[in-house]
Amino acid sequence: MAEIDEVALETREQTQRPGRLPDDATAGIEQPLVTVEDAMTLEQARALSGRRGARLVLLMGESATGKTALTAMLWQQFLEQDGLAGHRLAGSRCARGFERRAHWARLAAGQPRAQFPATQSQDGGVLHLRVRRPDGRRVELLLSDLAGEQFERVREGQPLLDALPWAARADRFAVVLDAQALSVPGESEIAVTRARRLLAALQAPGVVRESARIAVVLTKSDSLTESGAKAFTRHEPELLDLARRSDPEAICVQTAAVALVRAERQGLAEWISWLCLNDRPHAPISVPEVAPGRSIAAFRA
Amino acid sequence: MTVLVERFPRWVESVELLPASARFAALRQAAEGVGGTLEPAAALDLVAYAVGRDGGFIFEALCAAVSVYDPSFAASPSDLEPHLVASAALARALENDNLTASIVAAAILSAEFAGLYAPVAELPQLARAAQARRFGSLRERVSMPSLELESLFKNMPSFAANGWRASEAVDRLATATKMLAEQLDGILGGLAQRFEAHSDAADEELDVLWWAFGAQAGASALADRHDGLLQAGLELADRNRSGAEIPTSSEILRRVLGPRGEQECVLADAVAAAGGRVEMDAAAPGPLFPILTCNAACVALAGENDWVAAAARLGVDPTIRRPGYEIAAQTMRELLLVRASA
Repeated sequence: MAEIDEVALETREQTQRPGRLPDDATAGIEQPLVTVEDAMTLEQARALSGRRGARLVLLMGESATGKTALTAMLWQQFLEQDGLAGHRLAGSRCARGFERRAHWARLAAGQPRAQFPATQSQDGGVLHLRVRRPDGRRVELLLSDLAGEQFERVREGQPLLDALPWAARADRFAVVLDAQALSVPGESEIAVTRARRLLAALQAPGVVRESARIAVVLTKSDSLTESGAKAFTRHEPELLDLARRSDPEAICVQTAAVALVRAERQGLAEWISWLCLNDRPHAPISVPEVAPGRSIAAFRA
Repeated sequence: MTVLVERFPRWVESVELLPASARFAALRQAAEGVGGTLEPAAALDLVAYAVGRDGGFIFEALCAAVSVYDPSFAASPSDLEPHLVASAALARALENDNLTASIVAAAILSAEFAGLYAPVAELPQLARAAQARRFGSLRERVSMPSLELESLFKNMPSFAANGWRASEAVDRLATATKMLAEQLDGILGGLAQRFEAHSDAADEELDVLWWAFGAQAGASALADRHDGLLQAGLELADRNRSGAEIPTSSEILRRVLGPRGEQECVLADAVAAAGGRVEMDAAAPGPLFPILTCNAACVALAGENDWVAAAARLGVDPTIRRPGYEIAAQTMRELLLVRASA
């Protein structure tokens, strides 16, 4: 198992806040803080973000498109391999959540691909991953794992910010396109239209901040048939054009994450690199200059 | 509209997941409150905390200010949230036209010189703009206030009216005269103060220009002296009467110091070259006073016994390299800062 630089779990003693009494008599005794059993609530994510700042990643796609698998297999890959494109796992506050999701992949041992059950609405949340970049900087990722039904409503016309008010805070938007669906004869248009609608939802005012990034993620790319590959080649430029209206640097990432043999997984290195990439630079808000009323204040050497 | 209305939403993007949340509003209101009422005595501590130094009572004050609006707020001193609130409060304090704004601006620029930054990247820009505003306001033309004399005569007794009583009339006359005198006193007092400030500012400019003219003509040979960088900063600070930095100080110093001002220099070397010969004010050592701290360490240890390490223990990095004119300008800034906060 790969080395984990820093155990993600702080002690209860360390997280005591000034002016607050211990929660119970055991406070002060060092024990792992595992208050988050599975995924973080928005409130817990906010607490983390307020401490260190964090990068919020919104994975967008309908049911069975591979959102959960992408997240779980990223964790699995980190555990199996020491570093991914120079990025190293530095901890997680949601280790149990990742483990529960990755568990399905392990159950499927002996099968070529892991199968993941659909995320239910009540199970959705945010998973925390701390990653150390090749340059040594630590990035706190908050990966959303939401039920696909939420994005069905967005596809049907519900504004994204009505469905997910916190989407306006997201730093990364990943719109998932299912290669398997793309390869079903006669259904490729359906898969593409769904992704297109989600990308269109990102263009509403106030959704994508100027520093946020967008990617089109082709999942299950190892399932692409010849016709699916043709459909993808045909539609990729159009989808990227749509994404680049909100993020001129938008990219397409092709992944094949669910292969149980590590060597057969593809795209995870590109995926984590994109997640940990610096935000797009802000155009600075100018500070109004005071016109000098005196010559001495206008002097230039 | 304060600076926070326009900029705060962007500053909190890194910490706040729901921009319309109660926490967001609480952070902003706390920053407004702390910044709007900041006292000169607390300004240096707030800047030091914003750029990553120990919080102490300032951290407690920030937490208390946020808790007023969001009782669930709890943070530790190293958290990003209180640092952001401190930075936003500084931005708000810079909007005032007072001594506190001058101190905050100088302290932020000192931190920038020392390589320390707050989470709000544009604070140094805002500090420079605040300095320029303060400089301008001290030099504004003094306009004569208009006197509203009609109201003064409302209380005048009507001597021609039937049945007037002498004692009552004298009382009313005395009251009216007193009011007039008080109003005139207030107006003249204010005018005198403004004329004095204006005259000081004009004298300051003349002194600075003649000093620069003399130095450039080679009268003081600042550019050739070992202690020239620190001495130039001291001489410019001594000519400052308003406590507000002249926005073009660096430009003036570049002209005075010539090629030497353009050369990069290690801070420790500049201080060691002065060798304690430049008589400078005493300041509480710390990262916001890199030059005074280094100078004090160098003098105390007579330039030996690893005074550089002693300065480093006080939170200053004496190995930073800066152009000569910036070292001179920073010397002036620190001296003004010490004198303003005294």
